[in-house]
Amino acid sequence: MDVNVVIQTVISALTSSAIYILVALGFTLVFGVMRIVNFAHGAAYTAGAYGMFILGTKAGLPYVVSVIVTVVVVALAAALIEVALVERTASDGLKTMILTLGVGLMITGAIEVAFGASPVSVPPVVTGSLDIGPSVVPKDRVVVVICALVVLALLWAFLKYGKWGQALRAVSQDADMASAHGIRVKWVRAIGFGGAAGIAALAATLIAPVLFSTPYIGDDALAKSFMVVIIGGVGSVPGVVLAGLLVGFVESVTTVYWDSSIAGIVTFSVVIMVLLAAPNGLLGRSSARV
Amino acid sequence: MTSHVVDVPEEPSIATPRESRHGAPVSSGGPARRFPVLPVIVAVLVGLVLLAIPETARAGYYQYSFITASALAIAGLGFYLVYQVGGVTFAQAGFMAIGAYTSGLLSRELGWNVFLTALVAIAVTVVLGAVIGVLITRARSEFHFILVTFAFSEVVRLSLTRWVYGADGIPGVPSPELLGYSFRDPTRYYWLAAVVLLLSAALVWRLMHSGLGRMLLSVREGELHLAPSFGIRPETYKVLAFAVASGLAGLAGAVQAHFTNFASPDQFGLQFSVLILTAAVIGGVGYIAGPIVGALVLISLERYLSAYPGTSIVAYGVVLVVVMLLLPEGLVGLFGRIAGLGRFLPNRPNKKVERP
Repeated sequence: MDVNVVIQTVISALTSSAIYILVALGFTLVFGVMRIVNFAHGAAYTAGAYGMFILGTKAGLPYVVSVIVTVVVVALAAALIEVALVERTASDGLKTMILTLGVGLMITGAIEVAFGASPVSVPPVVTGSLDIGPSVVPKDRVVVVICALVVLALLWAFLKYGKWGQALRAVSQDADMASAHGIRVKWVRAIGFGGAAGIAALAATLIAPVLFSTPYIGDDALAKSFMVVIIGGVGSVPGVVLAGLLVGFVESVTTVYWDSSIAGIVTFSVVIMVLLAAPNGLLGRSSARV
Repeated sequence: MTSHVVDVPEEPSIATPRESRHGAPVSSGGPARRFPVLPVIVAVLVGLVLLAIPETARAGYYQYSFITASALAIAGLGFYLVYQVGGVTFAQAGFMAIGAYTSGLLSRELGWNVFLTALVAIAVTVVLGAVIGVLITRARSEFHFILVTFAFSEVVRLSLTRWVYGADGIPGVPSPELLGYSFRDPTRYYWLAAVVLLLSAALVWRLMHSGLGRMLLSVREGELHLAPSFGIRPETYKVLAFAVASGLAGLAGAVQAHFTNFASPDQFGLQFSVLILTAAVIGGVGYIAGPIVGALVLISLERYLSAYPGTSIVAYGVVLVVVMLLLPEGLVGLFGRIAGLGRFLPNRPNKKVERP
């Protein structure tokens, strides 16, 4: 086996894993806090990529500024959607799900109407490559992985020690009890929903300079979130990390040695098997918590 | 949540008459016997419109829309059935693809009669649906159920892409022919589609109004605590509903493939599953007429907006949001409420009992 191919595969797997983990974290956060399946989550990812296209490519703003503005706008918009629409169907999980599906379609369709269906790109931020042993690795991918690690660490610290992070965990464990302890559950739900969308958008802003974007990249991101969350166990953060790595690696290895449709078939089959053999996922508990 | 109450002739039902999803009391779907005024009026009107369409100036346009909508509606009837036992399925697209490919390839490669290959497609999808159904009823929440069905559709789509004629699909799928009478002509195919849709709806209606249908509803209503005490094994009925739904999807795939003379994997992706769900929801997910009305509305919308890429997607989204917030019973429910004749509409949406 060629060492070069192995290193390239590992780097590509880590990049995909990093993105999948971030997106799926938002997804599982919403599920944990609100008990809803957020079908609009993919649209937040798409919105992140197109935010970068508008600010970075069209307006020519610096990368970091574009990232911050994009993430904040997406998060605020999502929090607003939560308060204005999602809350109104909160009593019924299926209705909420269909509602978020509708919201996602509106956003995705609006992006296609505005920018067309053909791929768009964001100017590269990091160029050049690193020499790792015998192989040449593009720097931008390494940067994506490092950034994702930093974000993950911050997020973990926030959930563990932050005031609102603790409130989020409290609500996901028992909303009534949290409310009885003076936590404003409605606020927590809006923050959770907005924050989750913000994380998805952030993941997209990280990868946007590396890959092309179309209005439909969110579908794939959503599908990957489903897979990661199911394999890892619904509501489990360590599960998301483990499953994200698993999906990223299975996908990269099968793509390198066979092709991408085999990769899809293999990962989806793994999902079906996990669902049937270990319905709680690898690290899930019987009751979903964050 | 809207809380309108339709005056339902109450009848002892297997399930306890608890609050339904939409606030209406639950009936077992057995209306009192009186002359069905509204259904007759609706049937006559629908018949007249169907007869008039081939005579209009834009007959080709309307016939094409109707046939496309029929395929969507037949798959949507299956979605309705699965919803009745408490699941939102994304597997219809996958079974439709299998139906389209089975019927399309058998007729194209082996020269079999299309009516026969369509039956084979139904048989294949029913059997496969039963097998998948047995596995899938182990899903431990409605969320898991959605994901397995979605994953199934994706595995089908990717497998067809990878192993069966590739992403370009299969061209040259023959048109149906029976005893020398060809259905290549759009007007003839239009009538064929109308008949197939009617038969499918009749089958589903019969199923829901038999003792079996009451069982299905009770599975949804009191799955965990009530049904077993009446000797009902919920899984059996879930599998049954899922298998019939799969067969309907297989039939829908055949209807579509033999009309367009084409089938490709990308026709049956996530977006198509969403389309089926949208059709059922906007029509009214608790009514047999729901997916039919929804499919007609959606296809009309799509064709009006096809000149502006992306706008039909926005329209679907808007419609879904509006229906969820304002018309949870969908267009059929709205119509029934306006007509004040809700009692004739069978099988109101029912509450799903949360699993612990």
